[in-house]
Amino acid sequence: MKKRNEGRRIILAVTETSSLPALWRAAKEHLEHPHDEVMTFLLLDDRWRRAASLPFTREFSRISGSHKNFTPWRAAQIDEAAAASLARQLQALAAETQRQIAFEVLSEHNAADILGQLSVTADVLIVSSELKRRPVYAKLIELRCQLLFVDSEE
Amino acid sequence: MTVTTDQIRSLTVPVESLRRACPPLAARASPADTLPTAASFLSQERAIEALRFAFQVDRDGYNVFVLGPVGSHRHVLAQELAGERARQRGAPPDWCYVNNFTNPEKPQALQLPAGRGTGFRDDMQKLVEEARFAIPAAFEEEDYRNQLKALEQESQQEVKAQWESLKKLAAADGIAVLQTPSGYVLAPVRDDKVIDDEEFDQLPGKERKRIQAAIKKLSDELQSRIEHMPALRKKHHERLRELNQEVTAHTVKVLLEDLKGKYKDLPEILAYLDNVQRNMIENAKAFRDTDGPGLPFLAQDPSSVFEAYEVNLIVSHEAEASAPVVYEANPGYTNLIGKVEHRAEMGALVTDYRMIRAGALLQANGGYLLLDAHRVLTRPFVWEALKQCLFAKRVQIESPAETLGFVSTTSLKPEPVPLDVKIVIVGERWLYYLLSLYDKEFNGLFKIAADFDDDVERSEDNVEAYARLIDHRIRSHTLLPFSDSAVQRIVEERARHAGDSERLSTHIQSLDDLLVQADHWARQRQAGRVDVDDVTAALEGSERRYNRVQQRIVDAIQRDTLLIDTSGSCVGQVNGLSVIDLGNYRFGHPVRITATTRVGTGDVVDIEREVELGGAIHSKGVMILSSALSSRYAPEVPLSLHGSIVFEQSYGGVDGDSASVAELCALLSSISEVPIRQSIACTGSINQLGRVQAVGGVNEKIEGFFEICRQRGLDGSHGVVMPYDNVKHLMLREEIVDAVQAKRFSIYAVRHLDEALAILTGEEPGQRDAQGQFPPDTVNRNVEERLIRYAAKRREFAESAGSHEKAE
Repeated sequence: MKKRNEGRRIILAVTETSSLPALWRAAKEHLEHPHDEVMTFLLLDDRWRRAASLPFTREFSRISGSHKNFTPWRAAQIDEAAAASLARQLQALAAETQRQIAFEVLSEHNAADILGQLSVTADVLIVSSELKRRPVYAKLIELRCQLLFVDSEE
Repeated sequence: MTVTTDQIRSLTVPVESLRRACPPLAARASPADTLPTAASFLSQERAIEALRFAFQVDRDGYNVFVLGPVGSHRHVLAQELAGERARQRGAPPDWCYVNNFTNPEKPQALQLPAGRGTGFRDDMQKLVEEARFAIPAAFEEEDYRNQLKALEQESQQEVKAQWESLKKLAAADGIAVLQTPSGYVLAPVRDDKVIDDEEFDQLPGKERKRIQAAIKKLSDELQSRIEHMPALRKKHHERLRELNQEVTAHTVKVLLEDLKGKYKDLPEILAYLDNVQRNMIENAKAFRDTDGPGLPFLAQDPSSVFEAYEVNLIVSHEAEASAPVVYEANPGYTNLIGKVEHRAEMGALVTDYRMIRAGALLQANGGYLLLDAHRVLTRPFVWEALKQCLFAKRVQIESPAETLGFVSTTSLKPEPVPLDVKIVIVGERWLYYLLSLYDKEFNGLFKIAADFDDDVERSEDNVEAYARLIDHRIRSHTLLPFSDSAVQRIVEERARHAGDSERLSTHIQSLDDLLVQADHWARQRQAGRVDVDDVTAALEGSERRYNRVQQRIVDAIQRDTLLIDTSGSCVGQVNGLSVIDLGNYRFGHPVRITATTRVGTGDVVDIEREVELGGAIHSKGVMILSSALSSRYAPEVPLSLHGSIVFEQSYGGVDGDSASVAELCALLSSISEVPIRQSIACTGSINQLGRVQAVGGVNEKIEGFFEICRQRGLDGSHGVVMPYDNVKHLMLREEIVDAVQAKRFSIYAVRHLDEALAILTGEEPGQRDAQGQFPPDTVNRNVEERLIRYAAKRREFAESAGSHEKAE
């Protein structure tokens, strides 16, 4: 159990399509002290890897409709790009608010366990509402900390 | 036989004829009197009538060429008379260039009634300023926002519906449509989870085939919908544009309503305002993007959109003004026709209709334009361009390079402006006659010649009028008052300037110069008025400034470098008189003319001509004297003489026939061996019958010889023989008049060769008697006898040469 003078711990759980500003707005309402801790977790399902493992999947260009094979390399690239983008946004946010913001990428299949352990010491777990549609949702709602779903879909 | 005193006295010019003094002036103009400019041009009625006529005839080609000497104030008179007519005509229209929205390379010319151009320009500027605020404000209105939101929602709904229906279609086949950062992936799902390869392989073969078939079918559908997306976006943009135009149209219409009302009497302006309205609606976006200039490297600054509505007012007049009278002192091509300026932008020269500049032709359009002929003709392309405009009756502003087709780059071609202008070209006579002779279009374009007289008759009335003119000039230059004697002295000087005691020069500039300089000398001595001594000081000062060359010649004569005898007698040698004209100063000086003779074949050689130093008129004079010699002295025998005549120590060109009397006298002296008095100089031309004719520069010639004699000491023997017909031109210096009065110098006026011979030789030349014989021991008898002897000798020589040839 954490002591009252250790500061609050806010955990953000986001997906690659979540809008960070919306989640951050929600987080700010719970931040009280400069020492309050913010941890952000990007929960990646493995749908891109799974889709890329099939020999017949194609990626269609949004601009022209042309298509090419959807490969594991491309799947990994999408995940990395999502993580890098979020990292950049958090870096900017940290600089702006002068706070330390921790960032981790979690695979969805072990995300529930990790979040479950962390939630013991967390004050609030702010979750992107998209996760309601994912299998991890069933486990999230069983956590004992204050759980806050934020509609952050773009 | 010597000449008698009576004979000499009869040829002597009376003192009173040497200089015609100005009589006391009856009435001088009072300071309050004003003299109209036209009236200040004495005896220029011909020019004034021509100018008035040209200004009254409003027909093509009735342009004017004002002929006359420089300094006769032709510009002043032409401008004054043009102004007179201009005041009756009223101001012509204002002209401006505006953007041609459909073809910006051809700016549109618009005319407005005089005085309304400035208002129109300001109105358009105000319109743009209002539009820059009103249009963005219209897009900030709640109504617009609601409509825009509805439009966007509608468009988004359409797109969303497309994807939702596709997703639904795919879901029915157990396929998910996944969005990657750049596109879409179709993947089979089970329990909301994408199937991987292992799970797929475990599926029954039939199911695998179904999934693959479904994905293939959905791929086609996905592709089709993606391809349809641009059409949806275009449709959205189209609807957005229509909405924006609707909002802009309403705003612009309201803004333009007042302007259209204001200019309802001007259909051209209304049509232009309609174009402005259409263009503003089309460029609604530019009015909304009011974030200031774009990036410096952008080709077009967004704010330039507003500049397209500016009005370039090239010619404007006050509503109540008269027709313009413009004098273009520097009529280069662009100053006359106009130009399209350029500015440098990113290393390139760019322009637009706002950089069109009107030239003098457009500034004077509807009025009068004064130009200097010499400048118009010497500036490249100007004369042809001027004629082109007059023929076409319009002004096309373009560079000469474009006119000649020397440039191929795109530039502006402004709409031509109709031209209705009266051109007044001021020039010297020779230019007029050259143009008239060699430019076949000139006479059609300049039908009127206004010819300025160089001088005016010195009648009693004109002298009074001239005195008033002098007073007018004194007042216009704010000079000190001039005493009567000073004005009289000036009138006399003006006769001297005209080179004629019976005429007065109308050269205003030289008159003004004299007045200003006399005023200066009066002020130098702190006098309250200009007196005759100041006028004399001005004249002498002017002479001193210019007479360096004259002084050098006089010095050379006095130091015997140039040989001129002024005493004694000499056979075959006479003092002729020559004039050197330096443009603004001319003076006379004596030249030694010598002649030699011997038996010959009847030719008189003009050495000046032989060495090509003599002009055509001089050669003509020598040929005439040669003819006079043979017809007068050897009418019945062959002229068996070889004579040669030369201007000694003359190393420049010689022209004119004013020395022909002197040359013939030198020749006759040589033939007769009768010496010529070197104390007398001679000028005058002669005809074939021995008649002495008038010459130019007689005053300067007499003064030139007088100066040499004066410096050597006048003893009463000195004098000048001049043509009788030149007596009326005498306006000699008072110093000479005094010398003549004191009988220390004489001036003889002769009508005939014999009279000249009598003075120059001091001998009676002799007249033929009833038998046709000259009296013995006379000059003429000696000449005749010598020529007869020459003829006999020549015959003897010819016979002797013939017998030698036979013997051989």
